[in-house]
Amino acid sequence: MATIPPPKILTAYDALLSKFEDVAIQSNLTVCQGDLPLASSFERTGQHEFKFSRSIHLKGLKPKQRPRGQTLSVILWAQERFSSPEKSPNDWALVESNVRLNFFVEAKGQSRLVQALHYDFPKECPAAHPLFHVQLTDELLPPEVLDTLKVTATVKEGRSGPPAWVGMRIPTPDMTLSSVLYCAVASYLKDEIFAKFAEDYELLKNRLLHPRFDPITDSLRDSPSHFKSSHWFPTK
Amino acid sequence: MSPKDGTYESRLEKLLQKAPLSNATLVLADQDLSKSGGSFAGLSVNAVAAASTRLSIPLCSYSRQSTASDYEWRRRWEEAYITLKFQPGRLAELARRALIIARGFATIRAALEKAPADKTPSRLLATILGRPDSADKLAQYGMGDQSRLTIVPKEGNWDNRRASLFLGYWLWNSILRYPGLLANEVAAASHLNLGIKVFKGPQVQALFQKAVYRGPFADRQDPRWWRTALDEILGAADVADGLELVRARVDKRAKRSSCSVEPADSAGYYCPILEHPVSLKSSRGSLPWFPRGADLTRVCSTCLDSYGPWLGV
Repeated sequence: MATIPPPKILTAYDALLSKFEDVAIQSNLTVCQGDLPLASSFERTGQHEFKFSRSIHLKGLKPKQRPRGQTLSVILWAQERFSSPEKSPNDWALVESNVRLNFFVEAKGQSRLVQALHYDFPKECPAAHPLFHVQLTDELLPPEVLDTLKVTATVKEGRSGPPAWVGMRIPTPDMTLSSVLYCAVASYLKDEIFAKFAEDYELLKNRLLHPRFDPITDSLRDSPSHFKSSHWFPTK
Repeated sequence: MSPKDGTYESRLEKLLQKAPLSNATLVLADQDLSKSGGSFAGLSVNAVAAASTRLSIPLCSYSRQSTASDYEWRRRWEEAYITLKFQPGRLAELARRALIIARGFATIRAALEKAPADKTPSRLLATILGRPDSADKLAQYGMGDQSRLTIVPKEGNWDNRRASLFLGYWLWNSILRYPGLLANEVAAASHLNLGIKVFKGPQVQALFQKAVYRGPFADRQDPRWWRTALDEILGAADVADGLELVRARVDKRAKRSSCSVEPADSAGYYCPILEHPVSLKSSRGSLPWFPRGADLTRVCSTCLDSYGPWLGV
C-alpha cells in the first residue's frame, strides 16, 4: 500500500507553503518550517486516507499597536486529513482540519505567549459544534511542535486561568491551512504583496484540497436569500 | 592583441566576435588559466566568464581534479558558468560532456524562440522542460537567489541568447545538481528505498523508464529522474516504495537502500557532499545554501561534524 501521498497533493501543499514563505521573505520576515522535508509531514492512515501535520514559525512581525522594540511571532500547527471515496479513488477531499495558532511577543530573547486559538473542522462533528469554528484558548502548542521549531516559549506568570470565553466555538468560514495562510498574508503583509500572493493563489487554488461541507451546502440551499444561525451546525 | 588593447575581458570579447570564433556556441576553458602565456599571462576564468556573459555565450570550464574532491560541493550554484571535472587521459569524456552542454543550451534557445515572452523564468523553464506543472517547484529553486536574478531579463523583454544563458546555468548548476524536482542515480535509488546496485539492474531500470528526464543536458551516462513521476509509478502500483515494487516484480530478495551513516537504517535522501544515500534521522536539510526546492538533498551528520562552519550551521 502506498505510503506517500498522491504527487499532485504533495506538490499542491508544497506550492502553497512555498508561496507563503516567498512573500514573507519579501516582507523581511523569517519563516521556519523546521528541518524535515515536506514529504515527511504526510502519513497514511487508511486505505484511502492520509494525515498531514506541519508547523510553521513566522518571525519578525511588527504590529503597530506593540511597543517599539517588540516583535511578534506566530507559530501555526496544521493537522489535516484527506480521503477519497473507494469508488472514486482519485477524488481527494479534505475531511478534517485543525489549525492551531500561538502568538508570541518576542523581547529580550524570550518568546512569551500572548494569544492562542485554533480553527477546527472536525471529521466527526458533534451536533453542538459548528462545522467550521474557532476557539480562543490560552494553550501553548505541544512541546514536540515547539521543539521541532527550536522555540523556547513562556506563558505570562500569574495567570488566573482561562478566560470565560474560552469554551465558545465561534462559527467561521472554511479556515483550513490554505485559508489561514491567505488571511495571514492579507493581515500582516503589505497590500501590494498580498495582491501578488492573491494573484498566484488564483492559479493554485484548484489544485488545493477542498473541504467537504455537505450539511452547510444543504442548509444554505434551503434558504438561499438569508442566513440562519443554525446553518453552521451539522444538524438542524 | 596586446595588453595595451584593454582588459582581459574586453580583449576576449573582441576575439570572440571575430572569425572563426564569431559564431561560437560554447566557450570551453581550463579552470586554471594561470599558466596562459603571451598577452594573456595572468588570465583567470572569471575574466573569461565576464567576456562570455557579455556576449551571451555559455561558458564551460573544467578542473583538473583527479578525484571527487571537496572542490565540487563548495562550488556556489549561483556561478554563471558550468564546471566539469576533467580526469587526465579522459579527454574524449570531457568532449562528450561539453557537447551535451552545448546542445543543451542550443535546445533551450530554440525552445525560447517558440515560447511566449510573458512568463516568469520558472514558468518558462517548466514549458521548455515539457512539464508546465513543475513551475512552482522550479520557482523554489530560485528563491533567495538574488545574485542570479540580477541577470534575469525583465518580463516581456527577453533577449533569447541571454535568457537561454540564464536558464541553462540555472538548470545545470542548481536544478539538475540538487535532488528535489529531479534526482540523480544515487538520489533516485535512495528515494525509492533501493540499493544502488538493485536500481542499476536493467529490469528495475525498465520499471522506472517513464520517469527518466529527457530535457536539455540529459545524459544517458549520468541520468536524472523526475521525482514526481517516480512517485506516480509507485502510486499507480499501490506500493509503499520502490523496494516493494521491485520485490514483487523483479527480485523478491532485492536489497533496500542503506544510510551511509547508519547502514542499519533505510536511506531516502542524498548527501551532496559525499554523494551518498542518507536517512532522515542522520542528516539535516534546509541549509541556507541549498535551493529551497531541493528537498531530497540533506547533509549527512558525518559531513555536518566535519564541515559545520562551511555549511553555515
